[in-house]
Amino acid sequence: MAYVANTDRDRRAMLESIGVNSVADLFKDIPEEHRFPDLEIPPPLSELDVTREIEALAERNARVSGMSFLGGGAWNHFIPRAVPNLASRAEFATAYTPYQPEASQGTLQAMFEYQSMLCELTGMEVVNASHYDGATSVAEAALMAYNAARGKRTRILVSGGLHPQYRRVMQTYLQAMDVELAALAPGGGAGSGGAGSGAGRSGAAGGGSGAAGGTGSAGAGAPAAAEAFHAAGGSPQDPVGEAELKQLAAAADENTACVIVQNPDFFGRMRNLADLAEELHAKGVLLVVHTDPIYLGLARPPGADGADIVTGEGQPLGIDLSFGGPYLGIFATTRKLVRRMPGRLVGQTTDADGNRGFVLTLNTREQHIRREKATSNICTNQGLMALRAAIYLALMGPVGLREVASLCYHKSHYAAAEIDKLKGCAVPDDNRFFKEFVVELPRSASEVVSELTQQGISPGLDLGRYFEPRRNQLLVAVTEMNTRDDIDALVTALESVTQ
Amino acid sequence: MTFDKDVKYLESHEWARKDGDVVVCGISDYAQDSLGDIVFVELPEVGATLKKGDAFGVVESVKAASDVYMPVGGEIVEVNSALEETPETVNEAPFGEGWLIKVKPSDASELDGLMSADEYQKYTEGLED
Repeated sequence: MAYVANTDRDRRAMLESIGVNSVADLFKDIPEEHRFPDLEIPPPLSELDVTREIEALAERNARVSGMSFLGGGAWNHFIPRAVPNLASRAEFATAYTPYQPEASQGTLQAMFEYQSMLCELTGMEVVNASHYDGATSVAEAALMAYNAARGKRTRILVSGGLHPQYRRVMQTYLQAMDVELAALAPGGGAGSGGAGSGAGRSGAAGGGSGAAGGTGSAGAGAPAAAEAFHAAGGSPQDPVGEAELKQLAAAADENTACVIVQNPDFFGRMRNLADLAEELHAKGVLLVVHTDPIYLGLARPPGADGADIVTGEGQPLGIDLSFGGPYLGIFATTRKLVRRMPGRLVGQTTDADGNRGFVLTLNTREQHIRREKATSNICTNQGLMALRAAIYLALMGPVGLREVASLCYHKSHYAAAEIDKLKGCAVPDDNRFFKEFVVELPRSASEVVSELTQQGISPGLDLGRYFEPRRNQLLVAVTEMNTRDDIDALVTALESVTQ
Repeated sequence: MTFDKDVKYLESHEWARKDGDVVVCGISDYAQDSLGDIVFVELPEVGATLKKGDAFGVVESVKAASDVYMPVGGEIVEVNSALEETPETVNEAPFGEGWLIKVKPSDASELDGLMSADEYQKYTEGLED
């Protein structure tokens, strides 16, 4: 049905037939100060004028260039032109789930291929057709682990290396549930961070979990201590380092639904998860691994380490930075847990004539059929973003993705080595990082960031924004987009503001 | 359509049969026929104690996922774990091999209020109208 606006004559005719002089008269009963104000909008412009105006506004945007070393959940990666070109074809022009599969074969096939490629990449058996972003994927993983334990295990144990914003999103998702978001306290016991609203409940649970931690240190189990420790991102000496994985395994108990670990973690460190899953599974605890899909071009997939749920931020796979969204939440699991998995799943089938076709599968779990028991509150998905990721992965292939990952690894290690030579600047000793690393500066990171921004350089993320004790630390990300000249320019600029 | 005379029925289409000191429960032939091909059955944990009317599991078909309810309160003493691999047994033998759970009732007299086969058959005929 075409949309045709009322004409002035239509409106006059309607007003006359109800015996009113003007539309404004219909609102006479509302006191004048509460009526909609006159907006004083400027007069209409020609298309040419609008173009000029928008271009002038666009000119004022800062551009992400090779001189940006920002990361922390969103990274500047190369996007081949074919990605936006193919993804913007009119046939794909909606993000919404096609409920009429026979009429949407192309979209469904693209989603099926996305799922298949992500299965290979993560080493998992099932991948859904996406969540909003990395943070919401992690939160859904926590909910799924809780549901998989039929609500009998109420603790979600979170590594200190998880992105601090993801933790906040999880708190929001879990706040109305009888679930406790726990973290390691200093020394390794599990204390409760609480899921926002349940302060009283978390406090009590935190007391119990100190004993479960088993390492029996001062402060273990005290919620306030755990929260403070977590807020600090670990202690500056041991920033939730290697020992943490063992402590997490020890602290997981019969009331723990899952342990959530990020790899590479928020600080860029690669973690060896090889033994963790086995230890957790022996206690009936699920392992959730949040990862960076680019890292998987080079690394052993989390599925091979026994992860039960794998989540990831899909933005590096051909998706623009664009102020933080829309991004793509990767979500993968095992065949065993598939019926607990939230979100959409596209399956391949054959029609009555034996031709290959695609359908939405496991639909009966979803809210349009079983609303009160739906596995997720996600009612649409990031279809266009998943499509871009599928195109990106198909273009790159395993070899191309490995090359991107290698470039990130080697360039970031070159940058770290050069920065480490600067007097007063230090990088981690163990060198076990992927494309991001922490630089300890001799002065406040926020000042360094603002001074270098004046010079057109974004040197990295000021960690003091998230962890007060880390106010002299910078999180530097280096990708294939930063040339050797860019990196050398960063080092020179850092030298100029720290010596 | 079969209306097994040896069991009692709920309005939510489960059946219950006393077998010694346990009560065996499943879904009726009418229920499996309405649901269509059953693709997944979720069962409770052995040892769980549930009240009459509590949902104890889910029967999922190609058309819908439906909760199934306790005909009698008590402890779950056995579940038909063979259904994990072959849920279609519920379609093939709803009163036999396709049983769902065995319950040790806390009050067997709760069965008294359930419908007989004749009453249930009339009840289902009423649903057709």
